[in-house]
Amino acid sequence: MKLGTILYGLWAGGISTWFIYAAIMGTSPFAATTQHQRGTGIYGPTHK
Amino acid sequence: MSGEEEIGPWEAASAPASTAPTAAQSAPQSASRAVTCPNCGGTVEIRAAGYTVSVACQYCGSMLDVANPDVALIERQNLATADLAIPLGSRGHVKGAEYQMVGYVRRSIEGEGWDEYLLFNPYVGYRWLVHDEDGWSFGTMLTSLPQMSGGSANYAGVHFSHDGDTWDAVVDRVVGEFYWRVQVGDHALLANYEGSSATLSCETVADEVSWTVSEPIGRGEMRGFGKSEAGATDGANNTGQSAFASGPSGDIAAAPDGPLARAWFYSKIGAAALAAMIVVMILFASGGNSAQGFSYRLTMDGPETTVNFGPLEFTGASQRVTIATASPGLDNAWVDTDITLVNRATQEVISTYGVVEHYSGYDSDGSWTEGSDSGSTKVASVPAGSYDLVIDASAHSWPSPSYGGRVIDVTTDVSSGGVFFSNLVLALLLLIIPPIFLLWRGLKGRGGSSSSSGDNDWGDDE
Repeated sequence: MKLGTILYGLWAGGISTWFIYAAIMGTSPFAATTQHQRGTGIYGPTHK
Repeated sequence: MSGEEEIGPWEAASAPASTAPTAAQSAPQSASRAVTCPNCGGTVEIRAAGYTVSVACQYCGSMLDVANPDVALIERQNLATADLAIPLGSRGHVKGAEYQMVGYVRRSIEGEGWDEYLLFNPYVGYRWLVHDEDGWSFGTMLTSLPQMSGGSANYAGVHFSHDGDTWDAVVDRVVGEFYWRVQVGDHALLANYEGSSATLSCETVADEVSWTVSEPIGRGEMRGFGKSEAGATDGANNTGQSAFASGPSGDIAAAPDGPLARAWFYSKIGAAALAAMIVVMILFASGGNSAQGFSYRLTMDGPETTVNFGPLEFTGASQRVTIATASPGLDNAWVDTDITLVNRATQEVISTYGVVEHYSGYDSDGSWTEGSDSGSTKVASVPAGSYDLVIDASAHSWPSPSYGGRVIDVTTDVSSGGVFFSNLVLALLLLIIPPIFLLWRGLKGRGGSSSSSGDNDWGDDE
């Protein structure tokens, strides 16, 4: 088996492992951006 | 494929090599002769008799000097002869001409190796088939010097740019016969000049400089080389067994050559990994706690209202919590919510914020709407425990205060479990980086014209 195939297999395996870990822990590197930021209290449509 | 030889610009522009036979020579020399290895006594066949200077015994690996009638031992070896992707002595066609593989050299630079197969045709001369991590390429030694200009070279009207590096390549293994003296441990300085569709390699050994131009070739441009001469008398009798399809080096079939083929191969591995992740995502989505719903009322443009619900039980060691807020029928208004999860045991708080807003109206283009009367906030890594849900909420109308004083219903559903979809997107992006890189390199290297991925006629012997 070629070195590149082994390395890509490790790469894909690592990503899959991280994905399962994140699923178990209920976490995400983007979790903060899924939350709404506290607003200024001044809302309205952007439609002009 | 026709039997007519394809003459590339390199051959057309070059003069015959002093050491290699050429088409100018009307007939081949004597076919072959055999010598006895002084080390192991094995019979070593010289396939390019008259041209070959040194030969590596295929039985013990010893290097023999066959330039003189008395065979001399250059270097004694006692190596087991391993299988080669192209068997020594096998015949095949490359770019329309038939060649016999007469020599094999494995060389490396700082541990990274590649294979070079010396091909011989008494009418055409010597050529190289080179196999490295980028796939196969076909090399022709130049017999006239390219024109040098600064860090670039010009040959046959093609511009080649030096990549800036010079490498010390060492010979790791030798099998077969050669038109120069070569043995394991020989060093050479290599410098590569990249052209649009070919590479010019300058190799310096002591005071001798040789230039070779190599072009990437697809599988469709190589056929045969399946059996050694001992196993098949000639190409016509070849049974179709191909070195590249089912030969000794089966890894070639298992892991395709060339960036494009490897990009496709890696994509399949990545797709399998992605499918496994989707299964995990589905399994985790079906687990977790069921949603708990709470409702409360807000006065439009009224004061902020604080509501307290609980307890909420989260049983996983760490989980995602989704807090969904909805106000059915909300229009031209928004609802602000400050959401706090308070751990009853530790009094630790997790705060987040959500807003639900929906607007509609008419203008010269007709009716329009914006936003939604529901929305959700996801909180990551909430530890196990019993929590109170505290919501500070307020409702506002637009344009204020057109609906002032109206009371609206708001519901909040809290559920735990599931996987962030953004994780799947991130995993997909990370998985496709190597295949995309290989695809880019393959298209760049081959100008998008000749792909090795689509051709698969390695076993299509004549």
